[in-house]
Amino acid sequence: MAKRLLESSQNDQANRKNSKIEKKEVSFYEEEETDDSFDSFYQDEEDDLSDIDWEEVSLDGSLTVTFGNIRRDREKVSKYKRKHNKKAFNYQRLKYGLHLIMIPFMLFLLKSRMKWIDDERLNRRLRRSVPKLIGKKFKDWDVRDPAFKMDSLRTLLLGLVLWFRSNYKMNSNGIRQNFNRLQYLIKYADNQNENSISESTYKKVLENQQEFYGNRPLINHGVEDIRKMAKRKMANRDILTLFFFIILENVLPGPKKLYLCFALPLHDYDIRCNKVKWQIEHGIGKVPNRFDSDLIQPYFWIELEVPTLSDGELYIIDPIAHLGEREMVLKTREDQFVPTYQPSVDMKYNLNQKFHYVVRINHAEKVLQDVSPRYVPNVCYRYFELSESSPILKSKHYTSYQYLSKWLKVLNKKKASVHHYAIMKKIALTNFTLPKSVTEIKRTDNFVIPSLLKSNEVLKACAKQAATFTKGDNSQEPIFWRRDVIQLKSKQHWAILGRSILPNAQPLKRKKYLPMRERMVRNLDKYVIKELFSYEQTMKSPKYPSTYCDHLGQEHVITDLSHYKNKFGNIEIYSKETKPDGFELIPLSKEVDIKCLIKEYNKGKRKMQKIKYLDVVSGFDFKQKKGHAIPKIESILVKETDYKAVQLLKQQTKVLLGLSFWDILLRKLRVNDRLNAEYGNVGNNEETLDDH
Amino acid sequence: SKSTNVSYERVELFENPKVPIEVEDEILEKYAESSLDHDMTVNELPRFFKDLQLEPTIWKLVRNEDVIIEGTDVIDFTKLVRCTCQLLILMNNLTVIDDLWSMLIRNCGRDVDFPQVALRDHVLSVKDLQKISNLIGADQSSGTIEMISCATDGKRLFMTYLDFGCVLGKLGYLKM
Repeated sequence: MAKRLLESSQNDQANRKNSKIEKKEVSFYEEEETDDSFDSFYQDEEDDLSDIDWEEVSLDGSLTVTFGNIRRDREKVSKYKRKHNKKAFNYQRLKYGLHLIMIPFMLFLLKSRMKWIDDERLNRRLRRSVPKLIGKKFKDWDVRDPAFKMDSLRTLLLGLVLWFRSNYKMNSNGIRQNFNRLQYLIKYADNQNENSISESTYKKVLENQQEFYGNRPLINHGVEDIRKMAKRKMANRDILTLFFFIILENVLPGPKKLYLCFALPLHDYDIRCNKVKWQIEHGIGKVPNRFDSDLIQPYFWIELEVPTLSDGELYIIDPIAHLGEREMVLKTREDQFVPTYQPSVDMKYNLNQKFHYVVRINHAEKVLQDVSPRYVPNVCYRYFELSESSPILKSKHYTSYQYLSKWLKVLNKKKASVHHYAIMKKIALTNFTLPKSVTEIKRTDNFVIPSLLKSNEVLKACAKQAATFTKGDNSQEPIFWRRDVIQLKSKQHWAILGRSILPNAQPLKRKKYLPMRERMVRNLDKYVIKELFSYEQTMKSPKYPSTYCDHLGQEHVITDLSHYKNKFGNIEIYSKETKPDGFELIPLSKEVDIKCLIKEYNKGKRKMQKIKYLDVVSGFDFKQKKGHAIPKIESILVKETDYKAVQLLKQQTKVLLGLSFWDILLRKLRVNDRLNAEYGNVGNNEETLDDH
Repeated sequence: SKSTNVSYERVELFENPKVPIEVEDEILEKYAESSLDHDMTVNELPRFFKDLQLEPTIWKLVRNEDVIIEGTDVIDFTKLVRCTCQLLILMNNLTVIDDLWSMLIRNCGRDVDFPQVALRDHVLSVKDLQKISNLIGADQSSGTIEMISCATDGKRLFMTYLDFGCVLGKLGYLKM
């Protein structure tokens, strides 16, 4: 029955999806559905992500990436497809993986760009390209009184930008991602041979990557090439921003703080491309020209602070992309949100430039700082104070953010500025849009409504309503901050994680569920109630006691193993720290059957002299038999005094094993030798006969 | 275990041999000579063995680490007594050991490959043992690792004449 239910719900989903497609206009992109399959994949790889050791790769030379043949043989593919119900490849996963993997590369790119800024010859050339008139204006400005200086700085900067734009030109493309091409290449790798047209298209897409990524300037000789670009006054949008940075650094007198901002062009795992084949065949996703005119927003820009004039005031300068004068030089405050840099989320456009993170690096100290909240809305979740059991900790957005933060820490080699973090937190927590639909709630990490809580989630008692959500049928439901959600686990689950429920803790939630055992025999009404507890209601599992009190209240040391025996005849030790004092664990090995050794040893021994042991359950195997938790027994528990005896037994067995091999070898060899001596080697005899 | 011919009692008999009183006295006397004004060190081992008139072809195979206090080069008296007694047992059985050792050396072909090496100076590796056990029709890698490990306390991948003598002692092949 359950299965039928599942199927019908799947059909429903499919129908809904179809109708959605019919209703909507054809758009190139669509937001990814929030499905749990992503989370489950993520949990598997959770550990892998944190364990990777990264090597520093210098980005000044060329980088060669090779990949094996991604085409699998047909039989394998069809098998795979059958098994996975045609969901052969999870592009969202790939995108998320690429998104993560690119973070360190992008940060290194920003750092290496900053190194060019210190090049003396590059500075000289760019400084000299500024007309004397402009230089004089800045000098004149410098000697005026502070009030005038504050009022006129923006105008002055705007003039510099306008001059720069008419003198320095774009001649090549910047950085961009192109998931359309990647998805197309992977998806059609197996059936490109279906007809000759698609074959030739596939080949074209594979071989002409510059059509999809553009022609980037060649930098083979490091900064020397950059000097040449400065001489010709032509480069791509990233390097031109760098040029303006250097010019500003040179012409603006007095103390100042200049920052180069970089909106990391990472893959966006939140959106997916529709009809990728059709798109490719119609040339969508190709780079239109060498000016990157499809990338309406910049991804490199400059922040300027002039601390002596006014504290907290910030000039944001985009010397390349924006058309309006307001956006070219924007005067704002450091704790203000700047909406003009966030690309529009219109699914009909090329969304390759949407960004999650903006990182800036300052000229003087070369410290990298995350300034995303200033430019990206709805990132409250990154600044929540989260409890150990918050589900946000496991969300893909948050993991990505943590990954970025980790890299920033690594690259900065020192602690981040607390003041800066506070400003960013303030912007982030005050800049959000309330979700207007259920899908939006599902997608956001900021908010939740009670009806969308998972069965193992609960709101904290102190949770305060953030807003009210009106559903389609005009019924209302309170909206809460997602930071107030905590995940619960059963007593058994906590035990496996090495934690015990605090005494007197009341379960925060009870979950009704059907054990797999009952489900398989179709006992659909034999459900079990599971009590769920939060992390805060647990403590590190204590050691098993090593003493006990008798009925007279006297304390005795436990020497009898049976004291620890549970109803299954074993002891559960999930973490070594809970092992009782006075007892030792002995790992079971395949080479020596320790239990058998002990049995042999105990033969003919008096009861007191026998070695006693207890099987230790250290976890459960859920995969071996569906619906069953098979206890894993990988060690035994013995008394400390017996531990040495067992070790000795092990040692003796090993020696005796070796000796018995020796014994056999020597005996056989002796027989062999004697036979040869007395009867001669048959082979040799024949040879001697032949000789005669 | 596979064979009733090996027993741990016999191993212990060789590992902790009973030392005749007159032998112990002699060892003590020579030891005292070497450590009159200082602790005896490994440098004095050769003279010590020479004074006792032990067989030089065997005592030169004694490894320092078997007779010292761990982490120093000072001789551990108990270990030294045990080692000396074992050497004495081996010396009383040289023909037996020579016989069996040369059988091994012949069967793995080392005598032909290294003709200039004296019999007691040969060493056997895991590969040599494998060759021999193939010869007698044992299936590959049957126990050769265990055998080397047993002969060298799991410390090395090759064994010497002395190691082999001790194996025979533990097996009970030698007159005590």
